[in-house]
Amino acid sequence: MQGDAQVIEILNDVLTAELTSINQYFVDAKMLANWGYERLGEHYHDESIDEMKDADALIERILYLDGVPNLQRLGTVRVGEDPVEKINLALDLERESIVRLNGGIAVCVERADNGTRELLEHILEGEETHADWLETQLTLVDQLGAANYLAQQLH
Amino acid sequence: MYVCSCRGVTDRTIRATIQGGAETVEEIGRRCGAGTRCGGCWPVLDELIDRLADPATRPQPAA
Repeated sequence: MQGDAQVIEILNDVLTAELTSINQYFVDAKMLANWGYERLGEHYHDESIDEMKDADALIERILYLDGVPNLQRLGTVRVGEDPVEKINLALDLERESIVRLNGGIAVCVERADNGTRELLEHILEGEETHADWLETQLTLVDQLGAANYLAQQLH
Repeated sequence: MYVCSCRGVTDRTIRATIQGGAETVEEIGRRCGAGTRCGGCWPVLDELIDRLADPATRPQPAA
């Protein structure tokens, strides 16, 4: 089905962000595990896989709309040097995603592309849940201190 | 944060390099190695130059 050009562009922009997140969270997961923070690393690993599932659905949607999925383009992978910096950088990424997705959903409504709107809404809910989890971790770091928080991330 | 993954250079090193007078991507590369391989971090280097370099001494792009 021939899709609206602007909607396809939005889908590709969201895809770029997902591909960036996959890589950022994957390298974060491996670094965290290497430092011994197995529990936090596992969470990052699962987040990376979730982003890959989003990328899967986006690529399918772009192809359905007769667009070309862009897997060439990648945003800046922001690799934190310690666990708390990684959480802050992940939250930056998620907050940017939420703004991008809400903007994309508005365009889908305007262009009456409810299939894409529904997909973006589903992805948005996932990103909001992740942002909420990250905010909780930062609150815990504040309340417990970094050392106490990190002691809970070993196993 | 690691800005240049190829050479493992952090934003702190790059900020210090810019504040030490490196005001182009090429000069940053010469001094600390960042951005001398794949070039994927150039947009971030440009952003840091814009934010930190002294406007008085920074080479102006040709009009």
